[in-house]
Amino acid sequence: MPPVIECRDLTHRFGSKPALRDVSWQLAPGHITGLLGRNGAGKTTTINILNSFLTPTAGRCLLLGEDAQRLSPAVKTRIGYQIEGHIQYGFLNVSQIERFYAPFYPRWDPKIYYHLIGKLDISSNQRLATMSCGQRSQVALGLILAQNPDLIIFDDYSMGLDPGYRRLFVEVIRDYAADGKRSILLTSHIIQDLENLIDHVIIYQRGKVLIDMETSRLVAGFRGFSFDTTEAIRDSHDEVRHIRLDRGEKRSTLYGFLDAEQARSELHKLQITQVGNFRQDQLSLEDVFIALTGKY
Amino acid sequence: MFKALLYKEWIKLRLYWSLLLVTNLVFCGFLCFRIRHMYQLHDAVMIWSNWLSKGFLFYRSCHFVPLLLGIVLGCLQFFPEKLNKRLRLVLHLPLSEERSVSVHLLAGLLLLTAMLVPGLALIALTGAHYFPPEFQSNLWLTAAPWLLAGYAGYLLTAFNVLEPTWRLRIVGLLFSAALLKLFYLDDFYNAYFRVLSGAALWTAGLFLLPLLSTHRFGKGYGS
Repeated sequence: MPPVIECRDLTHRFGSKPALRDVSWQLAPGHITGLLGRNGAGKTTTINILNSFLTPTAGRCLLLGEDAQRLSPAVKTRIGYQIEGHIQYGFLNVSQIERFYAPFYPRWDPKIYYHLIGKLDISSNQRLATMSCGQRSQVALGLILAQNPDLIIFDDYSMGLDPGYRRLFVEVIRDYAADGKRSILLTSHIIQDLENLIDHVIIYQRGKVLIDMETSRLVAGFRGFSFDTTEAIRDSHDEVRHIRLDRGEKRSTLYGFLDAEQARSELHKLQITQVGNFRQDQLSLEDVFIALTGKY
Repeated sequence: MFKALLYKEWIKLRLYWSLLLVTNLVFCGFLCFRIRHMYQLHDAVMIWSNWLSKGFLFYRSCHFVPLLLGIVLGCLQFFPEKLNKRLRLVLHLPLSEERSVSVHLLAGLLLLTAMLVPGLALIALTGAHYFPPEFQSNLWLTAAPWLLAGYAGYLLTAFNVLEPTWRLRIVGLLFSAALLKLFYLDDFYNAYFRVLSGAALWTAGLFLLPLLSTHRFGKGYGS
């Protein structure tokens, strides 16, 4: 099956500052993909290009087979898009906004929208401007899911949400995508929420693709080995091979796509011969992300 | 789909529109009372001859009202769309960019017309009672450029609010001020009679400017 999103050699500059450099990746149908990266890594630039709110300096993106810069109305009906900050029309109330969006989407299902609204402590004549960020996020989510889109793009869905609403958001997305027919691309800075949601991960670093693989493969293959800190240990990072040595006060850690033997060998290459209390640590997706992209 | 966009614009603007309508009616009512008052004090023939010979326009004090209504309506309609780049919601709708923005502009022009017409009808009814038909048509032709200024003001406000970059917005504001000044160069009777159709065409052409701003916004200018 053809990819639902395909970015080819995407490059974008803001003035002389490069935001994206030769970025290429694909999103296969039926997958929930997380587009992750530090602030300024190029995630929002990519999302804006995907939604044709930005023309790339070079390269192109295809969404459902069409150029993102020239999406036909027919393809737009198949793409749901949640704007960063859950932006919606604050002057409309719950039922007015449903009435506004419904005629645009042939597969519109009001039951999905009102089912989600039913979980919230809001009335149908409450204006969005008077809602909390969490309530507004659910209204915005309901409006997207009611479209029955084939592809949904969430730009920083977790922004401004408390843990309860974040959990609700993740559960709703997971249930919605359970049939394996929907494709979802999302960005977020709360990576711990994504661990059990996304099945594919793309990590950006300074406008380039650092990692593009299945989440399970990344979490299983990328390991951390800690050991007692000694004088000889210094922070180091090999960006090409994704190997990072992180010096701590008492314990230091070597990260990489390594097994224990390879880790010892790497330490040896770094002229660290004394390795006390050497052991493998359990890494979460967030640990992997920080190990790959760094703390600073 | 068009009905849905008009519905959204109506919900957004209905309160402000009602307030602006009342404001316009207050101004028009003031003019009607002024006419009535003058006719109570003076003889009709003396009033007309005096007005025509001295070039006195009884509604001169209100000639900026349509322009102000157009500008205020443009701001109230498009500032909420620009806030938090909410315009992206419209651009993501399964409609062409030109169509969706055109519907927004048509909604605004319709509301502006619906705001101006009751006041104009009030003046027309009052005028029919006090003025001969020739004089009435003179009054309307003289006021026509100021009504056009209301529409031009609305479209230019939409253009400037939707424009994504400050550099072009400043140029746009200067251009708008210069263009709107053209509607107020002379205010004697029938001053714009010969150029009225040209001014109307110019005003209609301004419809393209907000489309240009939106296109630039959609292409990421100012991001």
